[in-house]
Amino acid sequence: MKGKRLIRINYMQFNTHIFILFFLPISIISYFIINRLSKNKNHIGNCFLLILSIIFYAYAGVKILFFLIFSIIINYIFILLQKKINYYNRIILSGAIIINVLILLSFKYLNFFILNINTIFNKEIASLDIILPLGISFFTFQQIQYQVETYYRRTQSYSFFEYVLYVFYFPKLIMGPLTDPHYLITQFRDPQKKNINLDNIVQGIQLFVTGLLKKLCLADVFAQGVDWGFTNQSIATSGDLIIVMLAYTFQIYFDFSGYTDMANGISKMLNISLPINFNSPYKAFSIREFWKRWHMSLTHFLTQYIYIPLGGSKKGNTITYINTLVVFVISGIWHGANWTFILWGFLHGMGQILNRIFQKQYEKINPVVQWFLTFSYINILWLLFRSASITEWITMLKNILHLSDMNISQKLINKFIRPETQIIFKTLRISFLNEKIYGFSLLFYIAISFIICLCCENTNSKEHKKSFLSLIFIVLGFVWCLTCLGTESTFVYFNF
Amino acid sequence: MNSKNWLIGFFSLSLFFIAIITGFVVYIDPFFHYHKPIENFYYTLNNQRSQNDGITKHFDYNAIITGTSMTENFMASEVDEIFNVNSIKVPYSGATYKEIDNNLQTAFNTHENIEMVIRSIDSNYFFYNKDEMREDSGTFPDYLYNKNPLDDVYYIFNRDIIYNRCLPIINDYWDGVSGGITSFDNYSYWMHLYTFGNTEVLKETSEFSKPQSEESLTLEEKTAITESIEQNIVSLARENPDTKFYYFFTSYSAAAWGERLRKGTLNKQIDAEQCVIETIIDCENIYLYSFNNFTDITTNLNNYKDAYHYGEWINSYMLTAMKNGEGLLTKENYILYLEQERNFYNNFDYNSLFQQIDEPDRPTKLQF
Repeated sequence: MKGKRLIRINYMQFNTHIFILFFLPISIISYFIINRLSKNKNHIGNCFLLILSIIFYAYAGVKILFFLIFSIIINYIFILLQKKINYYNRIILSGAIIINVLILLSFKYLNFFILNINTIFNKEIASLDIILPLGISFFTFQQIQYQVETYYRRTQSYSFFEYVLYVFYFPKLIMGPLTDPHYLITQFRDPQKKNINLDNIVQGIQLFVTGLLKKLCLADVFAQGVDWGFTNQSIATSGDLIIVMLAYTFQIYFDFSGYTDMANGISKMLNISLPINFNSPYKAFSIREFWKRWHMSLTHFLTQYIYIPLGGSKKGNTITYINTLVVFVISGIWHGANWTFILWGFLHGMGQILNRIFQKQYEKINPVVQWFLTFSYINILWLLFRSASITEWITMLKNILHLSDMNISQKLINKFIRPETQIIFKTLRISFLNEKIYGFSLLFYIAISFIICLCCENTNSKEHKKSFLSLIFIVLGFVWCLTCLGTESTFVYFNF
Repeated sequence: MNSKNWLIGFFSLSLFFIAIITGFVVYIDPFFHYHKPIENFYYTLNNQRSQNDGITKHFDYNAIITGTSMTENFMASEVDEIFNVNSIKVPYSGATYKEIDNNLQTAFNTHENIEMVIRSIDSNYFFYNKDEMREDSGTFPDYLYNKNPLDDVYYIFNRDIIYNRCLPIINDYWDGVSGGITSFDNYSYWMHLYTFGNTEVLKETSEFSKPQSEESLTLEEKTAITESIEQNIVSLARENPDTKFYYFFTSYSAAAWGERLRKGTLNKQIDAEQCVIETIIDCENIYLYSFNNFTDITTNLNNYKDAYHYGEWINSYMLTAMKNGEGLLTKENYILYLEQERNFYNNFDYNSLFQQIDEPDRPTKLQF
């Protein structure tokens, strides 16, 4: 998108050296040592959790930390107002929600508005350099959630400190999952959770390593192919673009669900459970089912705080369809400042509506066909989600639908020939397949991904075994991930 | 297995593998961060910012060729032959004076016997702040330069280092490739990548016009230049009086001078050059050269791939000139040199450059 001048900041991601080798182990060990040594475990432990979360957030820069603090103060004023004046005061609640939405809009969408005003009215208003506070979409929704819960008198007993910790809690601060305040604060208050629990540490490590594997060994590999496809659209064949579309479908899933696994794992080590965010979404047989499995905490939030207050499905079919569209368009806007996201949300809403309208007929279709239709629709819409503009999406779609050239470019295949996978092939003595089968590495990644997405049990519902085999798998996975961290610094200088 | 045993197993096995990986990377050490190359392994040199520091710290040498891309085509073997030294070539493409000076400081801190330094002084960088570093085109591998052992994890647990550097080195060893390194003649050498001649040099220029207005050198700029040259170029030479520092102004093509004239900065540039010369000229162990008035070179665009970068034969030519004292600026001749330079580049018919004909056959060596 031209004119976009959002400044993104480097932050302490879960899949970085500093987090894995320093922050995480030091945090977990010192948290339980402090809890063990202190008499008032709850208070000291929670204080320490807050300090850890502040350090985690402030790593990206103190300026954005001040912004989050500012947002918390503003919100807490509204919370106090709600408590002092009247819990069921819609004006105060509306004021709080509007302020939060305005803050979000001004940071994330202001340049998008300027761009559209420039396009529509042929103006030349300059874009602004805006530093986008980390996790603003997530913590804004968390603040709104807390305001609504306060409105319903469900946060009466929670202190300011607990509220701050709820917003700041580092495992879910940047990318969720969106968590109900009651669900989290109850756990912060539980003194039993301040004692080290080896079962939880094991489970946490298993979840964290699984997430790390998804991110580093799958999402990042698919990302290479996707980047190649989007950079070389003009030379990409129909076959290439189908692979690129599929690769992005896997990239976004392994990226986000990998992150969520890591967040759940970290939190589990601290004895705090986070809500399930993914439940094997690509196993869905319909768009409706997909949204019950994908980013579940967001779906829950939107249902609870937008769909139901609008009347949900209780005011007749037309209102239900309108409400569904409203929710999905808002979801699209929340995902990013571009018309592509809005259309993506709208089309998912339409998918839901069509599912509802033709439910009976749809259920009669063979489940394999149902799955294929759902998966294809999701794929096509992920392509839109990744595209820089709607025009780019349409151009790529046209190229795909022409099916003019189904060859796969060697340059795309090369993106999947990774030295680390070649070692696996050598170990398994299947290296010769690289030469025998065209695009074997690419097929390998796609096959593995389909197996994980469709045949494996979901990470959250899986029983975390403490067997020797699980130990070996997790150790090898962890060490493997360590070797896949980081890249060599390269400099691109032109003319000097 | 209970949780306690599982965790003991996890941490002990993980630490065991971490130790193996650490040992493996430290032993092979493709960026020479810990030691010089292992004799039996072949090391490819192709990443200046990551490898130059290690080369500078751990290799055996008594002469250094350094500077920007304008020094990348120097043949270290030719330098060794002409000056009877054992040289390393550690160029930093696009580097500021500060970055090059940092590397030279490292060299003098780790080696006591450096006899000679050949270094470019790019006139395009006269106006850069004395502490400026290039951070606009990549992430600088600070972990290779600082003394913090903890951030070595970025080097040791690094996908590219393990899979694209260390393992190929081991593979080569198993395949019987002889030990060694990319020669310093070939390191950073780029001649084979480009076409030379006026078609290339002037492809984005339609004409050279006269300036609308002229800029002049301010007192603040003059002070900043003096500070930068003193800090990044002269002070090291003063601290090491036994070393000979061969510095040279990079000879840009007439097309670059024409561009300066068009922008109205030509005379300001020459005033800045005077300021640089006067800051350097008193230092007895600095031999400052300029080939800007060797106009047979600068006005022949067949010597250039763009307005700035000359071919390897110019590098070679400069070495011989330096050996013979040609182009040397002294207290006695620098005023005359500047007058000639100002006179020539203010009056040259730049549009005549468009008439030049490309010569596909590159000279391998200019006659001296």
